[in-house]
Amino acid sequence: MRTKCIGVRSVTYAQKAQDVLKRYGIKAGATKRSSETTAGCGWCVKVPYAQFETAYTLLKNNGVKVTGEIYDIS
Amino acid sequence: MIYLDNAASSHPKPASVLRAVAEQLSKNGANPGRSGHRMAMDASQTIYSARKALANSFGTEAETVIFTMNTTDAINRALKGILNPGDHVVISDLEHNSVIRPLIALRNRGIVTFDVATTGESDEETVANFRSALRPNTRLVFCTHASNVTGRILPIREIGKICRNRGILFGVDGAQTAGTETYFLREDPIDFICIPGHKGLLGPQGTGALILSKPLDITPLLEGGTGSDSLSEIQPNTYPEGYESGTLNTPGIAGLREGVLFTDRRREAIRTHEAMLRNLFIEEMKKIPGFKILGNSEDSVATVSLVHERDHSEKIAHWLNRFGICTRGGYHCSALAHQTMQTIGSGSVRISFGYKNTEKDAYECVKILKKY
Repeated sequence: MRTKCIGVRSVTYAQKAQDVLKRYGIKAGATKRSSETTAGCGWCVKVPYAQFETAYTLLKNNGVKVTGEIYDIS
Repeated sequence: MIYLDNAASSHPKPASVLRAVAEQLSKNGANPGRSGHRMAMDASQTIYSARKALANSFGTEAETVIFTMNTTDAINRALKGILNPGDHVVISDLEHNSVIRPLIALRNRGIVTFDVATTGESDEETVANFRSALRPNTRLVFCTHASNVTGRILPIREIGKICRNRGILFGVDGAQTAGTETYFLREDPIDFICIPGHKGLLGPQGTGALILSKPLDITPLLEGGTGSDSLSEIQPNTYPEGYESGTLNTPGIAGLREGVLFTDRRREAIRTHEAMLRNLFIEEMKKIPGFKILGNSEDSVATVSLVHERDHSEKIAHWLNRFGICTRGGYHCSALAHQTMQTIGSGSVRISFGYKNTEKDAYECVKILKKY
């Protein structure tokens, strides 16, 4: 399944993001980002491609600090 | 053996705590928040579950729960991370050495000044004393919620309100109250609380937390690995990992989570039971000549301090130990409180009850003290 990754500030925020999105019925997974896409180790939450925009808004509205880095995973 | 030293560290721990520690040690030794493999992610989930449990218990968000080794560690991180040159601090006269020693060290380095507010006969008097100790440059008021010597509970919410009205940060030492008293940091006038995992929360030793109502601009006491931004030489200020450099005590934190869940479900019952034991013990001790109860306040945690008319407290604690009763004599790492109580020279025998103690334990201790 095609997914998008939303970068977050820490592993705690990745897990919080996963919690928040699950609460709203969005299948999400906290995961480590590829170092190729970051300035070192980083964390993100994977969401289904089609639900990315809703997920992004939900995270911002629920106090999850997103880094603004978004990338596709196929 | 009768264990009456729960103010130092609680014993025994619930079976769920023991199971969680053993399971974490035996099934998952991965480092949380570092690698991305399944075991590491499971370990991260263990940490996150514990953060959530503490956040729910203290009425705040998971990201503002910073794990520490113990309360002293949490207090040092807060005081040394928050205070800047020129800041003034107010503390109570019942503070533990974990408060007074860092403050004296900061004062000796010319960074801060501080004043000690006297605890009065009444809460109103105590609050008034805190109010009059404030100065224009007071940045922080830090106060124990309950004395680790006498058990007396201080009116932290009233003191906190004054601080909030004046834009002064307010921190609480919850060493003797976490697990038995209720907090809701989203609404309480408390900016942060420093807690042990191994006392009233019934978790393992080597665990504690600095819990904030919301993120504050704190300078990290430790810099190092955080599992994020690894190519940056600058310490990230990300909550909570920016304040938790180095590998966490995952087995201990797994156990702490269970302790938090255990006490959350039973808080009122534990508090009522421990208060009953304390009251029973005090009533019985009043009948025994030669012993004085130190600072007997009605609003108190389940800790009682005794002073003998003739002998040093360590001698009494040794006597009790001979009969298999574990208590603590001396000064309880709290010179300031003993100065306040005028017990420098004798110290006090501290009897502190826990959730597993029984009336029989209290009566047995009284019986042995009667023979002294």
